[in-house]
Amino acid sequence: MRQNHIKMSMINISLKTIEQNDNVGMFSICFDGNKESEFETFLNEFKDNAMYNKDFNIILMALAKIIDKGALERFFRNEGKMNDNVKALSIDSRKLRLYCLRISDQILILGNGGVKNSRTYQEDERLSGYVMDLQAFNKVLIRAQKEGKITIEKNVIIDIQSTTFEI
Amino acid sequence: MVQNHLFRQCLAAIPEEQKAEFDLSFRIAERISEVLTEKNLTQKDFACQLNKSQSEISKWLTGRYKFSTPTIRKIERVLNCNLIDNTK
Repeated sequence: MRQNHIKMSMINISLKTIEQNDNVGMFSICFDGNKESEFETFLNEFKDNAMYNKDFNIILMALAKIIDKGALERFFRNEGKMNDNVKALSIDSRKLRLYCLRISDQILILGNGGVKNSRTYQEDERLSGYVMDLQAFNKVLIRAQKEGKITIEKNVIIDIQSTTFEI
Repeated sequence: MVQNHLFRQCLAAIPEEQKAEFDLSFRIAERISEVLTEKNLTQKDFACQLNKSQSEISKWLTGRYKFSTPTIRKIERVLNCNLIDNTK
């Protein structure tokens, strides 16, 4: 699990633009110079999975609506701790979910996701890792803004392509 | 405008019937949200009027909830509006 690596060494994260229009900027995190983002890893894992195909499609259609309407708060379920921006795109009591950081109505940062078979995500090592990755990234993002390394303006994160973060 | 090829590929593979079903649920949720704003009703007030929990209402407004016809009818009565007629 990635969070175990924190005890041994820092991990480099970059942000990849997934979708961008006048309304919304949707990004995802890439670890240690990987070209594939966490969101693309999620897509590749579940796109051919027959058991969760319907749930997967619902999550994709929800993202399409977000791109159209904005990352409005009511589209998400709160996850993580209060005020840490970590949200889930989930479907009622069904098992598949995608974790993300909702920065504003116009900026969404997608993480990874998976099937929740336990009562809480904390009881699932993999899902817990995805949430903790986003929580850690949320902190470095806030710090990077304060230090002027990046600027968030409406639906754009300025200087994102040239910036790497350490968690 | 930037689009992700893999994401768009996955979206394109969704059957039309599933898209239509999702669109309907989403439009109903949007209509509820619109009417709550028009009537200056909070989710909490709305939940009380329906004798539901606030978390149930939150689920409805995500746009991913499958409304039953009795639930639609109850909501229409409480909000005094049509949900389905306005979803075109």
